[in-house]
Amino acid sequence: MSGQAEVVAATEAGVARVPWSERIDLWADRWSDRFNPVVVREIRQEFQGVRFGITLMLSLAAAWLASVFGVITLYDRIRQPEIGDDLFGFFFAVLAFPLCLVVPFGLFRSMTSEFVGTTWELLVVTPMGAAKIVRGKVATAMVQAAIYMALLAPFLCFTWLLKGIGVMHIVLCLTLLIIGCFSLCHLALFCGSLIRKAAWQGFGLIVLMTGCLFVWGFLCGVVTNADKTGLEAWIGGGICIGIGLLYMIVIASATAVASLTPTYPIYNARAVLQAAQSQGPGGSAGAAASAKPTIESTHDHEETR
Amino acid sequence: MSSVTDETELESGELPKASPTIEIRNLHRFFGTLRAVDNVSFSACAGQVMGFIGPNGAGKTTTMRILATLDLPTAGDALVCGQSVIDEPDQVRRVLGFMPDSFGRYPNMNILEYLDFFARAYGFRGAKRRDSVERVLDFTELGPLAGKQIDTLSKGMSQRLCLGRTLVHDPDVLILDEPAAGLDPRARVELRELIHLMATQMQKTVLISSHILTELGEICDSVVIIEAGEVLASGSIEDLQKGVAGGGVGEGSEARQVDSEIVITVLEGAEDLERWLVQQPFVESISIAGGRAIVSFSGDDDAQHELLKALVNSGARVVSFEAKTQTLEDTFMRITRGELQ
Repeated sequence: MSGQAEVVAATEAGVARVPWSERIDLWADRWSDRFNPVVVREIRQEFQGVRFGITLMLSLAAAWLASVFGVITLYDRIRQPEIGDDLFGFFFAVLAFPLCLVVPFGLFRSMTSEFVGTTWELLVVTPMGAAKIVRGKVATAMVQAAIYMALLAPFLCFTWLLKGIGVMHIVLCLTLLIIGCFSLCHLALFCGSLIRKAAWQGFGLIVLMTGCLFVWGFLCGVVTNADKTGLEAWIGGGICIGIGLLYMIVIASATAVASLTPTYPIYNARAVLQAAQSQGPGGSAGAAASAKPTIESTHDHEETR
Repeated sequence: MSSVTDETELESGELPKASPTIEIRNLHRFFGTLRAVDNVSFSACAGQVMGFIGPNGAGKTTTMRILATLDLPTAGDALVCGQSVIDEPDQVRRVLGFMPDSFGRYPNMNILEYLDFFARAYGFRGAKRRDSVERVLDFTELGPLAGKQIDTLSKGMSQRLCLGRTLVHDPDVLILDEPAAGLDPRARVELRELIHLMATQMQKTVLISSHILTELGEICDSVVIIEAGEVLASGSIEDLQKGVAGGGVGEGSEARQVDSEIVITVLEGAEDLERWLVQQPFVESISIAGGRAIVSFSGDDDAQHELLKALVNSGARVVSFEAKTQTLEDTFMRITRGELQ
C-alpha cells in the first residue's frame, strides 16, 4: 500500500472512531464561523443558563395543560367544526408569552449587562463595530423566538387537525406574533441602550414590561377576534401600526448603535494645533503653546461616558 | 538611552532611532472645566515596557482610553503603529490590545468559550481561530482550566484570562490599566513574568499603569509620571532615579541632578567622621545616627570613589560605604506635588 493510501485509510479510521457527539460539535464549530460572533456567544450562554431551559419547559407544560384543559372543556363539542379556533386562542396566548415577554426581557438584560458590567468596552475595541454587535443581539433574540415557535408548532398543528381554523389564519397570526416580537426586541434594545447604571435598570424594566404586556394582550385580543375584523380594518390598522413600528425599529437600532460607539466630538483641535504650529513664529514650541486649546473653546464638547 | 521622548525632542524632529509604536502628541482631553489630560506627549518602541504612573485622577486612564479608541482627544493625536486613533480607529484596534481596570465577565461561559468569542470578534475563522485560542491558553497556562466557568475564577486567574483576551489577536501594542490591582504576591509575580515575556520574546510594546510602584520598577524600562493631566517627568527609570530625566512640558523640562545619599557605617568615632566629612567636596549635609553617617552627596560616581579612597586613607574604621539608590517610589514622591483636580 502506498504512503498516501495509508494516510487516507488512517484518517478514515480516525474519523470513524470519533463519537457522533464530537462529530456534531466539530460540524457546529465549523458552521458557527458563518454566524455573527455575538449570536454564537449568546446562544451558548443561553443553553448553559437556566432561564431559557426553564421558560421552554414551562411553555411546553402550559401548552400541554392548555390542550388537556381545552379538550376537557370542549369535550361536548369535540365533533363540531369550530373547536380548533377556540383551542388556537389558548395556544397562541401560551406561545406569545415567551415571545412577547421572555425574549425581549432577555435582550434588555443582555444590553444592560454590557454597560453595567463594562463588557461593552471589550466589544467595541474589537473590529466588529457597533452595528454588528446590535445585529447580533437582535438575531440572538430572534433565534430564541424561532426555537420557542418550533417547539410549540405541534400544538398549533393540533388545532388545525381539530378543524375550525385555516392554515392561512394560523400563518397570519404567527406572522403578527413575529412582527410583535421583533418590535418588542427593538423596544428592549432601546431601553437597554439608555441605561448605564444598575440603579436605572428597574425604570427601564417597567417601561419595557408595560410595552410587552400591552402587545401581548393586544395580539391575543386580535387573534381571538380575527374573524370579526373586516378586511379594511386589517389593512388600515396594519399600515398605521406598521409605519409606527418601522419608525420605532429604526430609532431603537440607531440609539443602540450610538450607545455602543465611543463618543466622538464634532470638533477636534488637532487641526488647529497643526495650523498654529506651521504658522508659529520661529520655534514650534512657541506655536504649540499659543495653540494650546482653551477650556472655553471646548465647552460645547460632548463629555465622555 | 531610553526611547521615551519629551515634547521638546518631538518638536525638534529628533525621533528615537527605532520608530515608535506608541506616539502621543500634544494630547488634550477636557471635561467641561476639568483638564483631565493637558498637553501630554511621549512615545514608546517595540519591546519596551513603559510604566504610566500618577496619583488617582491624574489622567492615566483617560490617556489609555484615548489610545484604545474608547474616547477622543479634545486636541492632539495619538498614533499606534503609525495609525491615528482619530482617523483610523479600526486599524488601531487590529494592532492594539486593551486590558481595562475592571474585568468584564460574561455569565454562563467557560474560559475556552470566552477566548473563542474574542477570537471570532477579531475575525479569526476555523483553524486559525482554534490556533489563536490554543496559543493564548498555552501562554497564560490556563489550558488545564479551559472548561472552568469564568465567574468562578479567582482574581489572579481572571487577570490572566483578561491578559489572554488582549493577546488573542496577537497585537503589537498592549495597554494594561492597573493589571496588578488586587492580586496576591504570587499572582503579581506571575503577571510580571508574563509581561516581561511579552516584551522580550514577543517584542510587544506594553504601556502599563499601576499604583504598585515597586512592581513597575521591576517590570518597566521607562516611566512617564503624570499628575493633574500633565507629564511631570519621563525617561528611563535609572535616569529618573538619578534625577536627570527630561520633564514633560513647560516647567520641569530642564534636566536636573538630585543629591544621592551615602550611608557610611564606622566601628567607632562617628563624631570625628562627621567633622572630617564636612570638609570634603560635594558633601551637602550629614546626619549621624549611632555608628552611621547619612551623607547627602552631590558628586558623580568618580567623586564618590575619591571620597571612599580618602575615607579609608584617613584611618577611619569603615565597615560599610553604601550609595543608596532611590526607589521608584522615592522618585515618584519627589516629582509629584500631590495635587488634586
